Amino acid sequence: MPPPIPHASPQPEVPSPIPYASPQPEVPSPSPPLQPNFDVSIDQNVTPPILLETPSYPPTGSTAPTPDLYIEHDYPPTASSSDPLGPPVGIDTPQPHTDVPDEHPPHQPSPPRDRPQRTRKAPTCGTGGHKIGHRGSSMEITVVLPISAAAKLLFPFFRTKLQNATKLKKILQDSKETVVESDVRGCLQFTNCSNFLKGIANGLSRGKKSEEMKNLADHLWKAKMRHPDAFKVVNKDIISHFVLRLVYCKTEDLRKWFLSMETILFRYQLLFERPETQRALMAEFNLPYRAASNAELESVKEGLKQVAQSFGQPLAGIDTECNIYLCFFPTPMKVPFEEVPELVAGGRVFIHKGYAYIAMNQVVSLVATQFRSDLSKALILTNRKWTSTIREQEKDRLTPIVQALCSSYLGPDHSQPREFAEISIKDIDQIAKNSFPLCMRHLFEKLREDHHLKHGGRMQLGLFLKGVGLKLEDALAFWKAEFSQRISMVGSERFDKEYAYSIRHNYGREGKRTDYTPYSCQTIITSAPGVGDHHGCPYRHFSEENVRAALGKMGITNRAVEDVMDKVRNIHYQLACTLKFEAVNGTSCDAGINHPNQYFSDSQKVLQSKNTRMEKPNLDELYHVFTSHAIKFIDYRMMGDGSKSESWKEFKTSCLGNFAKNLVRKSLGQGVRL
Amino acid sequence: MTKEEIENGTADMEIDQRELMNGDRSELNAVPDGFNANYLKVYYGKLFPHADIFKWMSYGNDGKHPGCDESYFGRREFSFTLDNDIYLRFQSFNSASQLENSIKEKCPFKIDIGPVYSVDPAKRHAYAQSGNNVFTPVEKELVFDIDMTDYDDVRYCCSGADVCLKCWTLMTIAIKVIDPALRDDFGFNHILWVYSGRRGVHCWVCDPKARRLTNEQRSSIAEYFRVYKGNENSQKKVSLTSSALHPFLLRSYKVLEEFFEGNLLSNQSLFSTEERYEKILEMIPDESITSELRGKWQDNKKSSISKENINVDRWKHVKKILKSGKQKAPGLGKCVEEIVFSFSYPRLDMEVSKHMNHLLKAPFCIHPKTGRVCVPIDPNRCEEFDPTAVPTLSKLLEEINMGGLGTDDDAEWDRTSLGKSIRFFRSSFLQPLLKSCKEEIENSYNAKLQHSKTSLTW
Repeated sequence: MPPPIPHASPQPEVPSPIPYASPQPEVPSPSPPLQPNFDVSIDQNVTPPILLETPSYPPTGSTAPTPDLYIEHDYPPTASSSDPLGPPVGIDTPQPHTDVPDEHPPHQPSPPRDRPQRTRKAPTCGTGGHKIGHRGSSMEITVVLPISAAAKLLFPFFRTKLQNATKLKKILQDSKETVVESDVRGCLQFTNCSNFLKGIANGLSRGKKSEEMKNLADHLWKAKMRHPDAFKVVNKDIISHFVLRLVYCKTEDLRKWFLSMETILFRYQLLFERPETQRALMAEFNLPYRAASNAELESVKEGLKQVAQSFGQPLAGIDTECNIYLCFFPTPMKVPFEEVPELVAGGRVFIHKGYAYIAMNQVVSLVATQFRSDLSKALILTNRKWTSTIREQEKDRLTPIVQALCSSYLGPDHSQPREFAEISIKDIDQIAKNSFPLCMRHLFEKLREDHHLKHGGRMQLGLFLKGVGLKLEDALAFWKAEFSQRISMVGSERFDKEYAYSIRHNYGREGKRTDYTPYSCQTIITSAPGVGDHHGCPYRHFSEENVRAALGKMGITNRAVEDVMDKVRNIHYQLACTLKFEAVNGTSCDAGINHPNQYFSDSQKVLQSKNTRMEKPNLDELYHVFTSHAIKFIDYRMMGDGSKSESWKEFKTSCLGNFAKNLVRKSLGQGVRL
Repeated sequence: MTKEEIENGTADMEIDQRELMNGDRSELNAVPDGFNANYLKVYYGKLFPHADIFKWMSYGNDGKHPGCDESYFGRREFSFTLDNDIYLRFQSFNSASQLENSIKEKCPFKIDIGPVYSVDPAKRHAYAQSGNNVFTPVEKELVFDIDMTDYDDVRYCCSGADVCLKCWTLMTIAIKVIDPALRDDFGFNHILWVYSGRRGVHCWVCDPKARRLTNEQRSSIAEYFRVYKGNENSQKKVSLTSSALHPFLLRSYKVLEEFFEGNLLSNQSLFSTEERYEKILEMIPDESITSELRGKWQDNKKSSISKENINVDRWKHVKKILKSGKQKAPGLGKCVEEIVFSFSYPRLDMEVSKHMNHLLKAPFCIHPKTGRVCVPIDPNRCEEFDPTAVPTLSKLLEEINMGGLGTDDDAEWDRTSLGKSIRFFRSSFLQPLLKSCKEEIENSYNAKLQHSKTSLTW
């Protein structure tokens, strides 16, 4: 078989009810997913995306049904913040909940009552209103678009080159056709975009620095989204963006992930732009900034200089030497500090009397914040509408696709322990020794030692144990046994009063009853342990000596320790963890470590397979490992420029351990050629 | 508080009365130390400034101006911790008298203040049915909580819950660093610093803008203040990576340096023993420098430098060698600053500041363990503040007893040592705050009128 070609862009229309989906599962699950109609994980032939049959699907025009291409910006732009006496921010006020038809699908338990029907009106200012959506049961689409307002509106979602502004307007004029025509097809195309976002997530989790990230984004963009026709690129971008919204609007977690990835993407896109474009954009967005006056400049000049010096490293694209003057002059901008939380948090901006004085090239932060909040609101609205009406209306067409897609995009869900259903307290020490990642093992040992952990540690370890399969009753017993040993601090009575609640809370038995999921590596790495805290990622938060000591205690060879330390020094914390996994378990871990619970389950798998001596390789698993490698290969090919490139070599050495190599070789023996 | 203790309390009171019969004037007014529900009842009845708390928390929305939001105070969450650690959350009140009566009746050991919600928190369940996220916090003062226990690795005089004048310096520094930054950098004006009753300070930033910050914006401010990033497993607690300090840090450093060299160095005896100076040497990443210093100090052990000077002298050695410029590794010059920051920079409890729905103990509560009143601290004179001199519940009761009978209830607090604190609270915080609230209400009301007029003509 010839090397698979990724995502052929022009898609032949093969009617068949199988949608195309992500070829890049983050963590291979032990067996191929069991979704008969929507096998979303493997497609190594890269069959071109296949369209659904579209019998009831009017081709184009304003009367066609459309997927949830809701671009809803009907919230009053700044009313709540500028009007202190008005109703509290967007809460008590009747939401202009858009386009909700009168009848409610039966599955909706408590339909929102008395929602005012939307009154369509022209946008009042900056964020105006652009609606493409269902109107009740008539299934018709109405596009209400004063073009310029819509251009403003669409901007937040429009992540491609901004100099195409005129083109954008053209698109909007055509949007009746383009958006509608390509809805389902968009669903299928969008996997490219999703891969793109995933690539970004991957880069982040590997701790890439901003400069590297920028290159990565550029690279990925070209690989995944390129199309000879610039117009189509824009189009594809918009469509895939909206399809992704549908897929990722379901839960808080999905939304959060999507939000942060889209924001990062947006940021890097914007960074490529020239200052004039950026400036035009600020005006377009009606952002609350103004150029500082000369008198003001004079009074804050000293501070500006100090900040510029304190940056130390060059700001995106501007080199250090000239930073003082290039950053802030001739146009430093004055903006309320609340508008640029991220610059404030990083101490990367001079603040005086409530105003941040920001450099032109920090504009990005400003616009990205706006983008993020707009998108966040839009996602919540989309979700609301999807669950209330659209899901039902689209049950034959979009719903299955969206469902298949959203169940396949975040890797395994570690909140539901599956393979290793339960662990009991008596085994816990053994298990901790064998299969806990360093972060959890450290917490566990500290708990045994001090009989106490501070809040952050209790959360990190507690949720992990829950994910591992410790039942609530056992968890209570476990924590109580430890905490009560510290008699001076915690009597058993006090434990019941103070700690039991939060454990029950974690298991969704108290408070708002959310079933909390274990922390991912990303969360742990970005946490900020303080005095007396033991949580966090050891590779990131320990000093080098302490990491060494911890690894040494586990009997890891010096060489392996050095390899790990090398990754730590290059701030590849998850790779460090992966190497440690490999050193401890003596096998390769081709997927990398993305989640402590994944570490655990992979480690358990290795232990179990060692026990059964691996005599008969499971064909399913073999197939799966092989395909996941093939997919990785495809991905590398897309990022690099051919099989002989560095990335391929790197891929071979980094991803293919001996175990996997054998599997691939076996597969090759079965007539498959890479 | 256990039953037994309460009984003790009443027993004590009987003793008081016996003494009264004996006519012993000096013993007469003595109220035994400690904390119990009976004392607290008197405190809430006669001293606690209910009306001031109400005025503060209404922010001018007291019904007198047509533009004010009458539901405002009623949407604020209060939370009471009763005897036996019974915790009542989501209490809300519609008027000053409701608040006062409830406090007097329930006699909470602790009163916490939460956010203003979108709807009356007491009725949140009724709204829960009606849809997505209707019950949600919409306003909350920006608060900071600094607790002495977080400084345990840099203070040698006390640890844990204990606090003395020597380590209180750290709190003074915290106020002196945070307060000017809140005013000059962030432009806030209405800031209240409060003694937490035992071992820390709270800060309430009450400007309208501060109350409406989102969680993300709160985080950004908390992060702005965060320099100290150490945990138990890293040696370097403070890392100043960049070549120059941010203006805020530069300004703070001047304060830190003054207190570090003038106070902490000798009061905490930071260099007096090997164990202590090793901790500082660990922060210098250059072997040759540390061994040079170590050698110098170990030889010096026997010499007759007075204890007072040993810390100052050794610090001078460190500074001299690090700042001499002959060091090879870049970044060693930063070490001096890093050490000073590690030992004196404020350590905020970040989580408290980051989230709108975090509760914080109300000012003028009594700390159940110490019996001390959570009095406001004047940030301009915070170095004069002495936590050990803060009035205790029993002292206040004594003072009331001294006052004798038949006096006007309203001014009773004025004769106690709490009077000073309440007067300060009113004149420096509450009055300016209410003045600006009134103005704001007036302005937005006028703007609204203007708006509706124009839309009518249109």
